[in-house]
Amino acid sequence: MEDLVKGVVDEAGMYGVEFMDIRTLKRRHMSVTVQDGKADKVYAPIMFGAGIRVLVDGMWGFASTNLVEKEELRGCLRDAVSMAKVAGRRVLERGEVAEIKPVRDVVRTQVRRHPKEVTLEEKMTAVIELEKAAKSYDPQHVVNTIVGYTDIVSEETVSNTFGTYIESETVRTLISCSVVVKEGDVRQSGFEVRGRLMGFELVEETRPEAFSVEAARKAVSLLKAEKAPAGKFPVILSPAVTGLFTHEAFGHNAEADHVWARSSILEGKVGENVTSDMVSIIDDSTMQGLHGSYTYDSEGIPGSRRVLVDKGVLKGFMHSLETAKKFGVPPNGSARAQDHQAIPVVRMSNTYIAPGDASVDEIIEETREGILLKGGYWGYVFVERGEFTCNAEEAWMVRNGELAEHLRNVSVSGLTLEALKNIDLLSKDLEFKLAGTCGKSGQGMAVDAGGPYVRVRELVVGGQR
Amino acid sequence: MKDLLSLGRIACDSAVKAGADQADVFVQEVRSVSVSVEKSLIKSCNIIHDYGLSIRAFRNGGMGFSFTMSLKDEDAVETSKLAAALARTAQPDPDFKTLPDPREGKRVAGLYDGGVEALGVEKAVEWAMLGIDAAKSVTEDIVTMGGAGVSVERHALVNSLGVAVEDQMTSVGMGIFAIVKRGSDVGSYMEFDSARRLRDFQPEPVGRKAAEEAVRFLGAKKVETATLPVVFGPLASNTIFASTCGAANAESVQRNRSFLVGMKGRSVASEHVTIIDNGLFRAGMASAPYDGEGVPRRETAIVENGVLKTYLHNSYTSGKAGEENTGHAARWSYRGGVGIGPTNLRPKLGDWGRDEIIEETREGVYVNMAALSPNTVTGDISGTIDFGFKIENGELAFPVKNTMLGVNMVDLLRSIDAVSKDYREEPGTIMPTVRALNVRIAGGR
Repeated sequence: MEDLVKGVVDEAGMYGVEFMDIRTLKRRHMSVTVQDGKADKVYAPIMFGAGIRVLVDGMWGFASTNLVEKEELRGCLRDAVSMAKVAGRRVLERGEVAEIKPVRDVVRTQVRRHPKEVTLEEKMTAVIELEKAAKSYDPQHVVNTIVGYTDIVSEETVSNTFGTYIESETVRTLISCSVVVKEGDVRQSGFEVRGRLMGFELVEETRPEAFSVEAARKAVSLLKAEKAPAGKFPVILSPAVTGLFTHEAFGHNAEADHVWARSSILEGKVGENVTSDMVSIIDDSTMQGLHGSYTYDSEGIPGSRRVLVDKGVLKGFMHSLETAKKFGVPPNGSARAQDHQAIPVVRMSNTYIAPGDASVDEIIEETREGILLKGGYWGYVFVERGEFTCNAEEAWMVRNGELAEHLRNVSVSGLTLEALKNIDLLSKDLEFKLAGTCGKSGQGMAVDAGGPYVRVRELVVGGQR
Repeated sequence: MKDLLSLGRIACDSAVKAGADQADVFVQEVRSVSVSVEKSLIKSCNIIHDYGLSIRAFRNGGMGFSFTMSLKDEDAVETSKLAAALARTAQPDPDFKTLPDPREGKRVAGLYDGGVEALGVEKAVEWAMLGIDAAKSVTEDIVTMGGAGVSVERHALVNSLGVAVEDQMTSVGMGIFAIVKRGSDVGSYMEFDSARRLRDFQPEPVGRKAAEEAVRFLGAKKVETATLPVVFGPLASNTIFASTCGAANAESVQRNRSFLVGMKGRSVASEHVTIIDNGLFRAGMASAPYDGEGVPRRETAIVENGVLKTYLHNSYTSGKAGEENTGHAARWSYRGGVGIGPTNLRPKLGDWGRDEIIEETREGVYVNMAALSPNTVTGDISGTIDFGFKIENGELAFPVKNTMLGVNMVDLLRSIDAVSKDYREEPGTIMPTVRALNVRIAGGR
């Protein structure tokens, strides 16, 4: 592979490119879905191909092909160059990349049980057991159970005109459980997910009680839950919701491409207080085994621990080679591409608020009337306005310092800079429970997020009463 | 050019030879060029040539699925053998009855335009520049991002019962996201257009509309928490109707995962609501002669005068329920399996003017776009109004921010008291303005 891609990199010089990179990919998925007691669907797709990106006269061109063969790659390079040249006359602000030292490396995810060494039968047996446990938690109320298992083994190379050549094998494993329960006309659901940069050991380490039974328990408990109220409340975020909030409300705004494109509310605010003094926010792709971790990004830059906010002060952003050059800072390994057909863009990895020193009980005790949110479902943000939405699986009213009535699935909305400044209590916990996929620029990327229990003095709760 | 149908047959035969009871194969080739815009500038031009083949093999109802990103005969054979082996390992599913038999579908005009296939990235650059410049003509300080693109798709679908269909389609599209900042006040808006044919594509207004709406959203205010009528504009009404039809997915219903379980034949909306799904509409973005399993598309009334008339079926769910297959198998790419989804939604229009609905609303909220997709199990909607206005004395008074709505989808549908006669049209789909009563609006206290 090295000779093949290096040949294409060398050929790029003949076109007068300022920069060029080529990424190749071979990715195998294995998925098993067990639904209502039957492991009747098994998926094993195979992806492969290459993507070539060039910078010619300040304009970017990109082309991809599924065929990783010499002549095809040469054609792909020509296509990428012609793409850049088409728009070249429109260049008003030149594309550019930070100068980097070439890296040569071969890296592999360290796993205890590589998915390829585990038979499909063993995977199915394990997933069936997890699903059975959910069903048997409360057979009278459980009306649907789905447990999904997926392992993804990606073999990639990144090579560029700086002389970088990196080969990597990345292994990710993900299991999820969704349970629907019914009583009379009321239906509710519970969900659990585990995703890690690891092999089959993830499944072996997963106890049903903390996973599929937990999803069923939540669903059943929600049958008696009430509709959430509407309006402004002090809100206590549990670690998964803290992760979702950090990712949506702050993280996307700290992606340097948004800042450069003038679409971030953090534009021009480095060195300023953007959150309450007690808040530090970190995006760290080096955390052992977390779903959003990686050794090198899709531009061949080592992943790193990026302190975005330190005690309230905005310290910097997540960068690609291009944004690092434009901001005059070193690249910090934050550009990732979903596959060979996608261009690397600035992405989060594992994003979190650093823990504080309160206990969760103290936070609840100090809340006269508020809402505690648990389980992060989905969220999104309009970065330019800093208006975010986070949907939580379940909630509780807090009254006079105690947990009161259980509330159904509800969303909260806030304005980023207001909400971050309204954080007034942080617990000493640090949990990551949001393994999933983040969407940006049409690409889905593995991420995780977390933090402690966090109290925000005021958020809008979108309830029905 | 590769004969996709022949390749599909090779793969399908191979899966059956390898032990599958039944199999289907989807072969797809897509060429697309696109241009991306960032900071009111052309950022990048891209060309993607994507192709591949996916196989679903069934053995005693258990399914094995695989795809390859190759159109070589030997890769097709290997992939089909793999899918058949997976199907043998999968547990049986007695609810699987059969894949569909071949049936003649109706030709749909306007899905392919040779004029589109002839376009290069130069045209996409031209559209993108048009969008950037049109936005600037509204106000110089506008910042735009987005892009434009052209794609051509060919695909073939083959199954072991004799289904063998192929098709080609083109599409063009552009989207401009406009941002205007005045101090700490920020307005933004996304506008788009898409079409199968050049004659249906109108790039000119996209940038201008995006910029005008972004400017209109300056000065947004928070509102008080209240229960109010809500007027849903075309894009919002489309989300509501599409989510409703999405929840009528027979798979979700049979699996007890939908808030529409047990609602067939019952009232789920007010009498003003009739939603027609037309998979055959000329040049529609979601039109095709056949669904994702080769069953002829058709016109289906999903909701009629408020009554849910049918669930949406594919071959699995229709076999399991013993009901007619409505031809709603959804298959977007060789990379995915087969699901169920609505096609072009064409709600029945009412007799209100859009402006009249607003004028007749003393106090309320106008929603242009919002997170309106419900929790599909409960039907509960809890979302932010992303682009909306407070209505006061029958007029759009000011844009709202940090404002949410909370309501159950069925309650919302049942409280619809007005549907407009004017509408936004995207190829195949029409989107009227509708009003629902008694929606909980969350803001300040």
